[in-house]
Amino acid sequence: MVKNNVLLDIKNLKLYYQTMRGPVQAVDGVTFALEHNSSLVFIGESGCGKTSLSKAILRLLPKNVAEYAGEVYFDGVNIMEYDDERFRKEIRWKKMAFIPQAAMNALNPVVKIEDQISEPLIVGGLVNTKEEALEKVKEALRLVGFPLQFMKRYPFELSGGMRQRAIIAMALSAKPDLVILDEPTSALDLLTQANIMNELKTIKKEYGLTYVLITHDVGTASEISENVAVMYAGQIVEYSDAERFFNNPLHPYSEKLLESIPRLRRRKDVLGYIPGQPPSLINPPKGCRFAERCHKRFSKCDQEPPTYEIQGRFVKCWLYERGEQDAR
Amino acid sequence: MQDSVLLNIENLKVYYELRRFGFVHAGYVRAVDDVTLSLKKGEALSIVGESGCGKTTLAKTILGLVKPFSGKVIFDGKDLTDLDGRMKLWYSSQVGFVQQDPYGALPPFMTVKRILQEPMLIHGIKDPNEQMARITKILTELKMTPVEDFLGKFPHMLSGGQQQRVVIARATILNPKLIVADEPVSMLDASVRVEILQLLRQLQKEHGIALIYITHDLSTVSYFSERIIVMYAGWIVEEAPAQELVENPLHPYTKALFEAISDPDAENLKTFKKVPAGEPPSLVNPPSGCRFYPRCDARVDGLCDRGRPEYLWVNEKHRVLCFPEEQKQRFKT
Repeated sequence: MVKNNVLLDIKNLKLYYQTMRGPVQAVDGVTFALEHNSSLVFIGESGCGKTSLSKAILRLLPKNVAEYAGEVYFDGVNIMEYDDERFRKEIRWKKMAFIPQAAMNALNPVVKIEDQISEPLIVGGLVNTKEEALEKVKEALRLVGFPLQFMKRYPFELSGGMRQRAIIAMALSAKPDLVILDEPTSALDLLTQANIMNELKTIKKEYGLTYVLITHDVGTASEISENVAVMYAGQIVEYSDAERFFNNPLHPYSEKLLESIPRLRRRKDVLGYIPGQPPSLINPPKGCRFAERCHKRFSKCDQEPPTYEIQGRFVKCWLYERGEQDAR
Repeated sequence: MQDSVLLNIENLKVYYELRRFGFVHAGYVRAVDDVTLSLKKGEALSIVGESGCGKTTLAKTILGLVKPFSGKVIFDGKDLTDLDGRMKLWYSSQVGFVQQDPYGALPPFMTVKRILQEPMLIHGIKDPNEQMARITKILTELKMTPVEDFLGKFPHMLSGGQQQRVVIARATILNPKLIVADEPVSMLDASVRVEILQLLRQLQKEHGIALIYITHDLSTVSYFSERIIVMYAGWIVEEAPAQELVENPLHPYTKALFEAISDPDAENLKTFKKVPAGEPPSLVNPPSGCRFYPRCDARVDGLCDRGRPEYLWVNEKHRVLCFPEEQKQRFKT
């Protein structure tokens, strides 16, 4: 990975939740770096810690946190050292915006769309007058293809696609550098999904944004991913550029994951699936966390594998101990 | 047996009445509008479409949960609209329903065993040995083994995939002739979807059950059914054998749906999808003429906005609801 021009650099980020039966290791030692105007997709099954990771980056933490540690460099500054108040004032929404999972639940039902989008601008002190805020709101709404005549409506008067657009506009209104999208289209219809993906692509190019997309829908992920990180049981097991990842995944888990996706074009006759369940994150297995379900398991998998670098890609698997050739 | 018709739907209309102040008639929501289709015994049929296109209403009508406004639903020679109480009970043993949200569909205070006993108790299978034999058989087929481990569990103790298997087991335990599966895997995790669909398909094939698979996920339909129906705004806009539809979609809407699907491929990053803007029309006041007309890129003004198109039969099994090409050409000039 080239280290210049880095926007977000995360080192050994941990987020554990406290439960009755012990700490849940939802995010366990995640390390990655992301350049300006690039995009990264996190894919993985539900419960693998992808949503927790987004919360850890944005510091939107629930009450039962047991451990929250690591380094998060944003534009070269370690923002983990900021206290909550400073983080809220300087980073959240102004530098990093968040597009949450289901848009229908994310909007306040009793506030009009225009007021809702202008609220963070006014509260954050980015504008001086309401008129100025509304100008910015209009600009953001235009960008996402939201018809301006619906600005004065309430969320329940809009369709799912429109609400999702409003949410995206809200995230963009403060002109952040980084946008974290947590399953931005999974609750929407196919055609709406494709439309919104088109718009996200255009916006990225126009505004020079950086995206972190979190999804379990690998097909949609490929629409805006330049890099792919595969998460399994709280850890990144593979990090790669999209081109090589989709053609030749390295980790056995990524391989199986890609095999299990039904394809319309270039159809395969047999679909694979991964037997079994992901491990509990309260007492994760000592060695490789995927070993129990892995079809390429061998004796070494009882110990935790280190992360190997293979031509600029990263994979956490013993198969790559001696480089790529051996694993094939 | 394979060729005999199990379900026949003729000119089915399902309208929901809108009322103002609770009693003043204020129009209809035309959820299903003039749908005709038939299903053979043991056949797997997929119904695809966006939300609000009427596919769930169609399923509910087939299950007898919603009364049709007009038209006929004939199951095994009997018209559903005039089933009386006892026949309704018989009918409920003939069709199984697999719901979208397994957790919502299972009673949280019943164990797996109790859940699976329930339909048998209702339909008079009272012998405990036979009950257990059936439960064991179906759970083994669904690969929930060892069966004893699951019998005493409550739904919240199971994973999403296991919950959905219990729902499938409950739907098939009375050996129905038809299973209606409404988005059976959309609430499940991507990695178990294929497994559940394969189990459902296997069960369906082995027992010769007819299956109606309702989904918006076009990429799975060609794997799990023989025939596909595409619905838009209450109409069937295209019907064809699965492979043929994937290779040769004809209706502009079907084409748009296929275009919108992303296969995992790094090339997607560089391209934009050609999808129609806008949203499906209101079903209270649908557009005059073809309902896809406002979003269609192949529309011909003066033709497509007047009158409903007729079905064009491309071949014996492939029909499409669109105006013929010659007619369009004539209108353009």
